[in-house]
Amino acid sequence: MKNSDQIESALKLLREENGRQQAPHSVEIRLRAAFQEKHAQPWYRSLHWPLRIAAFASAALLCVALYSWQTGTNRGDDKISAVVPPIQAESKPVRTVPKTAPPTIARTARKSRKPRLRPTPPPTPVMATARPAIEEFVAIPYAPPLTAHDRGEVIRVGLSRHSIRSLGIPTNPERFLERVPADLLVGEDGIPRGFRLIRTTEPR
Amino acid sequence: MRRSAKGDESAFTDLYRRRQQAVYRFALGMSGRSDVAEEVTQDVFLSVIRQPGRFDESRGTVQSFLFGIARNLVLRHCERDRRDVFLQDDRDVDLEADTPDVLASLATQQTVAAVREAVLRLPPSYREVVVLCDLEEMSYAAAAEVLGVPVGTVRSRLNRGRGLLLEKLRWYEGGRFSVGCSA
Repeated sequence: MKNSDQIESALKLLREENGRQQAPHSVEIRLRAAFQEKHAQPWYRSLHWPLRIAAFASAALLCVALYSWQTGTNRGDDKISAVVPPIQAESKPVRTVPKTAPPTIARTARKSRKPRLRPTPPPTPVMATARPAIEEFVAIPYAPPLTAHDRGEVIRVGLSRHSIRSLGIPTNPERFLERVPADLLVGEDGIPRGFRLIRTTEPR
Repeated sequence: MRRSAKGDESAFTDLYRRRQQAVYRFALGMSGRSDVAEEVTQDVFLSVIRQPGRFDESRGTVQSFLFGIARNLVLRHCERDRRDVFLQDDRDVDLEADTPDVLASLATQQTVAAVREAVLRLPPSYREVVVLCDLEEMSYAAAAEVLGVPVGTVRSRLNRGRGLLLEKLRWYEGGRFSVGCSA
């Protein structure tokens, strides 16, 4: 027998034996798991394209709506902050409540908290011969209301015309930097609840 | 391969089921160990999953691509598990000469075991051409593509490998052999 034939027959036997060999099924399971992990898609990719467009459009509209609502809310907050901080930052306490200006808050048992009704020195006049006219308190917008049990005090301040304008009262723009005497009704928490302008009148 | 690279799982599964047996047999023929063959097969297809862009249609077929990866992996395994050093037989064997059948006295199963062991005893460069051409029945051109050598080199290595195989089978007939992945 030729050497080549001997080799060929030997290899043929081995080939037939090997023909039955294959990788175990567990290899396929592991590979498919690895494939799924590699190609995992976000949820929206499984949608058809019209649904995908509709989903994105809805999300975009929702974002725009949220942004508009948020912007509107911030404008409201700006109004409140425009009212409260300018008053607190720019006002200068001048004196306590004058005799003729009873406070509209409830009087408490504590003497230290009670507004004192006593003769007060005359206020710093805006005009030498003018007499102040006391008006009703005007509630400050967006300020938390006082209840019957809250305590507070009235403080005489000098409000800038800019602050007065921010409270909704028209002012002369030429006299923007001038200060106007006013009473601030300030709660226990330090937040002003109301104000009233002290208008000066010419003596007759 | 293209559909599999785009994420088509059924395409990948089909690719695996059609190609895994050949890859497994090649790794088994080269290493002689089923655990190595299993690991190499898994790593070959994991490479396809993780780097689908590696396959270039212009450079070769899917078969040569997969076998190329398997070859590198199995040679790395054999290098790690090296136990025996080959003593090359420098004598050329005339395959056309008539000699008594060395395997005539052996039963089929013994023959299969003997041939398998003899193949594993071949140096890697001859072993791979014998496994590809004689056991996997790959053409010279396809084997040359897998190995990255000219067709003439495949022919000469195959001829030499078969001669060495015959010598080793005669050595086996003498009753001495060992088991394991030999590189």
